[in-house]
Amino acid sequence: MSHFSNELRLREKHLIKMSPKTFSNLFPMAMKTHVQKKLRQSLPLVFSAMLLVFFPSCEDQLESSYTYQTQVPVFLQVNAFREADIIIEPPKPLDNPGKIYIFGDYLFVSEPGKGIHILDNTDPASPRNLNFINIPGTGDLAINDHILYADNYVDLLAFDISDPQDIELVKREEDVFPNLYSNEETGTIVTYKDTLITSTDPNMMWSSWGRPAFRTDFMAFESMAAVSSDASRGGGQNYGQGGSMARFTLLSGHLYTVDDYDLRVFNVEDPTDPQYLKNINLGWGIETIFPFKGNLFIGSMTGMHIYDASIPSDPKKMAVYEHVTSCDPVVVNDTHAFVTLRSGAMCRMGVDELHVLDITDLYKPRLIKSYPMDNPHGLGLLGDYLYLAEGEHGLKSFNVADVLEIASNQLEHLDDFAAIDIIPGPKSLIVIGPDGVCQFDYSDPEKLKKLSCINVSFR
Amino acid sequence: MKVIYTIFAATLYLACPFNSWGQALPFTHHSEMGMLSGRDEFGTRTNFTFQTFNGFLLSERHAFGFLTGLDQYGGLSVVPVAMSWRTVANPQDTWQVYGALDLGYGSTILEPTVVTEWNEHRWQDGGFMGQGSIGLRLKTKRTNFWTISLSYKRQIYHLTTANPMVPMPDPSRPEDWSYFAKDKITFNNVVYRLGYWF
Repeated sequence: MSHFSNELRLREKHLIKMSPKTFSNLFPMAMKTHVQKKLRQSLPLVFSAMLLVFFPSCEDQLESSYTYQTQVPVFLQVNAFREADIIIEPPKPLDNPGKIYIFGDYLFVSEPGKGIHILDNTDPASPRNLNFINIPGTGDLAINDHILYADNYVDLLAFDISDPQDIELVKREEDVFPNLYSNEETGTIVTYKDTLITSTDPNMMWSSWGRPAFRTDFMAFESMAAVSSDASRGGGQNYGQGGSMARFTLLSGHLYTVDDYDLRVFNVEDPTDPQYLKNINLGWGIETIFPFKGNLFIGSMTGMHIYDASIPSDPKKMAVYEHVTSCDPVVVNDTHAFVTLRSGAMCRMGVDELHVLDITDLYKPRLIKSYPMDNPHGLGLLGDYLYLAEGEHGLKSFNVADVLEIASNQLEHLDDFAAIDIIPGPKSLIVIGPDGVCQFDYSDPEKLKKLSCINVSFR
Repeated sequence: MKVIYTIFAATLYLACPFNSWGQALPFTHHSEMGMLSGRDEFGTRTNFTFQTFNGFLLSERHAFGFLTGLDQYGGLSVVPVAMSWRTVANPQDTWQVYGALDLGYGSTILEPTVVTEWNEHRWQDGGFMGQGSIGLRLKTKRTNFWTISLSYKRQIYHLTTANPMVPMPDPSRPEDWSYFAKDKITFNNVVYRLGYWF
């Protein structure tokens, strides 16, 4: 025991005797300063602390939200709107203009689902908002000899508008648009309301794309592929044509309406008493109807249908001009049909083109030439002048006397407003767009002069 | 290489709003390359990272400047753009301990908006980027240093996939789209880097 403590004492003595120089010679890697010494001691501690703090929180975080524009079904009893009075209301500002119709000095602007605005257009430079017919569930309209036809969900209404200050409902033809019925026996109809829904449920992921691979190793790619194929199984996008607005036209004492699938014929030889005659199935994606010299030109998403309406109560199919799936209104003259094809969310893999067809033989319409366009919607034809609504890109005018040289005969391009549809009226060229209704003096067809614009109440 | 960096820094220096007092401050530069390490739903991921710091020595211990570079998360390239502060604990020694703090934005400027034949649009947006580092730098014979560091880097990134409803949809208005899916992804990384400082 004493031997051991002696030895210890001896060692201590040696250590104490050791000079600082000897110390650093013995430990050449030792830090030279006090700071260094402290740091060196604390470094492993700092690093391990960092690892402890960081690693548990190192998982990537993912927050997803899926927002859908969808249509929520709204169920209605037919009695509810049949018993309610159709009210003629004081003028309302335009909110969401749909279709335009001119009759005499009056301008009719439909507000889809809500009703029809009536404007006094005696002076196109300052149209006057007269009143508003409140028609829930309306889509389109047509006017025949002071009688206005409009749809009211499943019914067709006829109004006497000979005095626009005193409009009167003269007839309700019931159940003529039965495709809105969800249950005809109980008198329940279904309409769809645009709704924005946001969800964080991963099942709501609809994209066919998946997220990009945030890694380059092979295993991960396999897993990503699995995830994205799951996603594509879950969704795929196949949007139907939204809405179910009828489109109306009048020809030889008959009212023709088209909706998504059908052409319906009404006898309106007695304008105040429309009679439903028949229904002709047209396929799908029917969009517009244009009457010309006893024929009906019907634009659909797949092509243009031509119907012979020389027997007005029984239109007969003459030809179908097929093109790629696209949205397309039609206008015609004696020899040519002008069809616009546009791309867009609802128009599937559309192209943006103007097609000119030779229709001298109505049974064999023939494509003469197609011209690239920006995003053509409606068009209006007056003599040799074609006016074309280019959606957000505005309004274009062309001289179409030579149909093979339309592109080089563009006259004007007014791009300071959005244009959807055009009516070459007797006093003015009327252009409708999401922002309102504008009128142009086109007495000189090569130089449009803006007369007035009625803007919508928002945006 | 040093010449190129000096030219770049000189440009930055001239463009710098505080070059009036910057005149007197010496320039400093630090470039690093390394590995981002994190975990996602498939397990551990490792990604390449490069960053370069250009700034001014405020004192022997402190430097302040601008940080940029590239973080390659597989198919996704993120360009960090940040203000950066660096501090050295013991500038007299051969082995020096330093810390850095970077705050800024991770930009997806290199990622284009893509539209499929089915008219599905997809675009990416960057977001907050923050990073704290601790490291060692070894003085070479000249006035340069080799560095080794460990950092924690947090970066936010947004991916949007959407199908338009209207002809000219506004990316900030979900109403303009029939389907609008937004993913916010926060990358949490531990970063190991080697670098060169002068």
